[in-house]
Amino acid sequence: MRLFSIPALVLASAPATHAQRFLPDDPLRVDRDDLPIEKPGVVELATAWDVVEHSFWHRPSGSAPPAVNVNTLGEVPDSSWFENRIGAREMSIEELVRGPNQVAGPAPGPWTITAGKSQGITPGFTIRDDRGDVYFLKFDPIPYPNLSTAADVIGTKFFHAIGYFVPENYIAYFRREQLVIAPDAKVPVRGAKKRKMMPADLDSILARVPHLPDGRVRCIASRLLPGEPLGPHKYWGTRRDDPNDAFPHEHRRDLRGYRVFSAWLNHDDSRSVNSQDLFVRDADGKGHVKHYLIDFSSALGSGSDAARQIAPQNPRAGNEYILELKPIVKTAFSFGLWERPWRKVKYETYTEVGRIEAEFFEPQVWRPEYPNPAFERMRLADAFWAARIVSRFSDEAVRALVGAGEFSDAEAERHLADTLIRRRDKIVAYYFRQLNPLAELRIEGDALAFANLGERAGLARVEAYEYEWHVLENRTGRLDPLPAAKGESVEPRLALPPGGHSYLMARIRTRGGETAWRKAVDVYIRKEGGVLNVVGIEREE
Amino acid sequence: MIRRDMSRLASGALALLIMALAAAAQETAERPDEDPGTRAHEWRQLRERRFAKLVPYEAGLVEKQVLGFEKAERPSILDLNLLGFYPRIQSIAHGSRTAGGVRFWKPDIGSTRLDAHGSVFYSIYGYEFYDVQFGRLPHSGKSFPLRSTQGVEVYELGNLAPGHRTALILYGSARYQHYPRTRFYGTGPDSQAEDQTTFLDQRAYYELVGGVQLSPHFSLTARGGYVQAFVGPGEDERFPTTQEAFTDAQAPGLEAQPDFLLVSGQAFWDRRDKPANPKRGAMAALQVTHLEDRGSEAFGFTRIAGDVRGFVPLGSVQRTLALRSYLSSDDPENGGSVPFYAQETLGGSHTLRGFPSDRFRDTKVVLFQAEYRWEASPAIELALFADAGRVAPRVSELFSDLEADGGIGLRLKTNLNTAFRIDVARGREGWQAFARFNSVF
Repeated sequence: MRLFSIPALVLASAPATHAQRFLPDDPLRVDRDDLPIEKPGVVELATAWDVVEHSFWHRPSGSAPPAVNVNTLGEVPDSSWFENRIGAREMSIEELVRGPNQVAGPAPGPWTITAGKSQGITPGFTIRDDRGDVYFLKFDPIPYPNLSTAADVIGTKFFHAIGYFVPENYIAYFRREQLVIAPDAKVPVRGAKKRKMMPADLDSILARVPHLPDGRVRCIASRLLPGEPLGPHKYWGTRRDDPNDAFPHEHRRDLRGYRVFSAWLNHDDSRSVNSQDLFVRDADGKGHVKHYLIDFSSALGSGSDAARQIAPQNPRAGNEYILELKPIVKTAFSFGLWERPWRKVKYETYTEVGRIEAEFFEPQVWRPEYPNPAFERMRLADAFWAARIVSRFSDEAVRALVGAGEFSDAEAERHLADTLIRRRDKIVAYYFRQLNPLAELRIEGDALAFANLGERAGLARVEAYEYEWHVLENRTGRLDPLPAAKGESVEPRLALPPGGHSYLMARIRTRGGETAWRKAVDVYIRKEGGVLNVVGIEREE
Repeated sequence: MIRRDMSRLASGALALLIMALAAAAQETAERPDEDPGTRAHEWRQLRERRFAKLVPYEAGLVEKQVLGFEKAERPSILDLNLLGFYPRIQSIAHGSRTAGGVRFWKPDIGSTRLDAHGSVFYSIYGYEFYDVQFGRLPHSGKSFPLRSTQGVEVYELGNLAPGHRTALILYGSARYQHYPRTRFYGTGPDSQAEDQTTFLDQRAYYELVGGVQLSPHFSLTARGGYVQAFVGPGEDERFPTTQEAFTDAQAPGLEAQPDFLLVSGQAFWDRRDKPANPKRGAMAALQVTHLEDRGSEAFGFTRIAGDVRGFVPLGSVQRTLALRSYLSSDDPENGGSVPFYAQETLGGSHTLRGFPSDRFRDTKVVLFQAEYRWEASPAIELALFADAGRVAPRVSELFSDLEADGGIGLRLKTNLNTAFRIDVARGREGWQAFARFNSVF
């Protein structure tokens, strides 16, 4: 199967003004999806309905089309959804650990509670600190100190480094005396109007959270996102009152690839309700929508139990949807003798880390809580894009990011970091074996140079690279083989054929190593102003 | 004149065109990298076309309703109430069919930890049930209290969820029941299905109940009170009334029903992991009840009953072997009799499921139940089951020729409870099917 990096849907929907393969600004590095618009409507999703809707509707039928928001290199341009970070450049450990944070967390001094929390499974409330910054505070449950707060902060930093927009989440500590209830603070009451928040309400929340020996309380302080909340985004269709939202979400590579990242970090709660769109106003009152991922408190080994209380991940998490027919039928008709394989997994559990492991984990079959339309349409090229980003996290980076969870148990921290490193290696091993993992394609002197990421990861040894050179007539897309311009190279470096062609294409297959490495990678080179550059990459899937 | 107007129109149109072009140029000037012929321009065109058809997101009807509940804008349908009065639809007793009614529930009145509860129900078969309790009732949070609807079968403290057990309960209770189609086939193990009759079982209980949770796994409950009973003709026209088909000798208490003083003590030991949805553990209950005849002294008796249940995981949490044995013995005082309407029965959705409700009754009852339960998913459980039991006038006759049945069940569960179950069973008299909103045991 062929993947065309040039977005198929874009070509299909664009006017037939040209048939040329590459346009002057290819490869596009930035998707300017920030045209000034009026504020769109606020979306509210019902979580229970979301489960039903995604379990029974929006499931793919047949193979999915290629992702649409990719440039001719198969990369995702920067946009209001995604910003290339560790996948595109080196990030220092300090930068990784800082993540999206702009300050050092809530300012010391009194924190004024402005509202009680109405949604989610963790207790919490909203505060305004002395600087006037607003934070949402959430807590761990008494039996599992640090579990969800660490997961939230670590998840935030990982997803930020990957390229998503996430809130500034801080681990913060405070004392009861620091809290002041604002006169107009209200708490939600089921089945009734919100009522004034009383000290007893605060005491009730704090009675359910762990206290440190010195009396302080640890929390996650999530800084108010800059913009006007528009509610979550769905993983299918588009926001129909946002003109900038032109690409169906299920066909966005950044949302399809989110599956690989979520599998890595066991973020089974990667669903719509844990996203937030914000309207960012420009000076003239118009603005654009920016898309965030929020709430990673149910990632890694943290989850919730059947009573919807924060607890170590349910063993089902990542292994089976909430509603999945096949295992139900198999268990029912085998009189319970067929047992779900994941039930037999032995976990090394730590109170602060919860339940996460790397032995049973298989990235290709990992599942979120319920079907995600974008995840289900992920193709190998989408996964390869994501796996390459995952591979960019060094052991040192993983350990540093896990350390941001501020665990009290060093052994628990080590276990989590080791587990994530092993899960990363499994992701790399699996997806780099599904197609020809050539990357870092560039012109060096008079040669096309590249790297085989699979060989670099130690998956197999390459014997040679087979290549064929073609001339591309960009205006028509016609390819003509260059006579006597095929052969093999032991090195990941192909000498450019002679001639002053404006466009060249090299079809490269890897010999030796994995079977899938025989799949072709077509590399397009453009000569512009006397300079040669790689302008397009197509991968056979 | 016309030419001048045309000229003005043309000038105006030209001005508008220039303004539009200027605006467009200004827009383009802001983004020189989006010139026509570029990929950026192509993507921008995709967006500009969308300006013409902007539609805000509109949740569907179902989603709106679900969202309303989730945002706590409206209470759950189970929480709907008016000043503490909750409408309910349920059954009252075996054979009552659907009943409608209202429960009144005010927990922790004025932060005193005193509770008030009452209920009124009337079924389509004319069954009636009224009760009222006040005091410190067994309940968890705002949930309805666990109270006995039949006087002796509920071990209140043990049925509360672990971690929410009330250390002490003490309440007064009054209850009235009017069951006009109660089945009677005769007493003893040899009663015949074709002898089915019905009678009106009318009773009133006035009780004081106290209990203490001595440890997380052990509790004691005591109750004392006054019981009034009345037996009248049954109202199911398909069958003769009990008075027509049986004599007082065959059905003691048929002609006259005395009042009783009731004294009862219960000890309850519970090591089940989840009382209403157990996967492992065991429980045992022992109950001694004495009913003192306040009239003829012919019907006083003492009941000793024991109930033992065990739950064994079979190599996995998804497979459970559930076992139950129940033994009850009524011993009349002074050579008297145990009123037939007060005798323990077998048959129905909780005991011998291959037989209809109240199919067998006598002074001694034994019941064994075994279920192999397997979870198809956490919310769906299936079960293969077998029941065996017998009634008899003497303990020595209790353990031979047991009635037996077998069947299959489907249960829908929450984490803590059985929300709904269908059990289909076959005994020697044919098939029985039950749909219930509670667990078997």
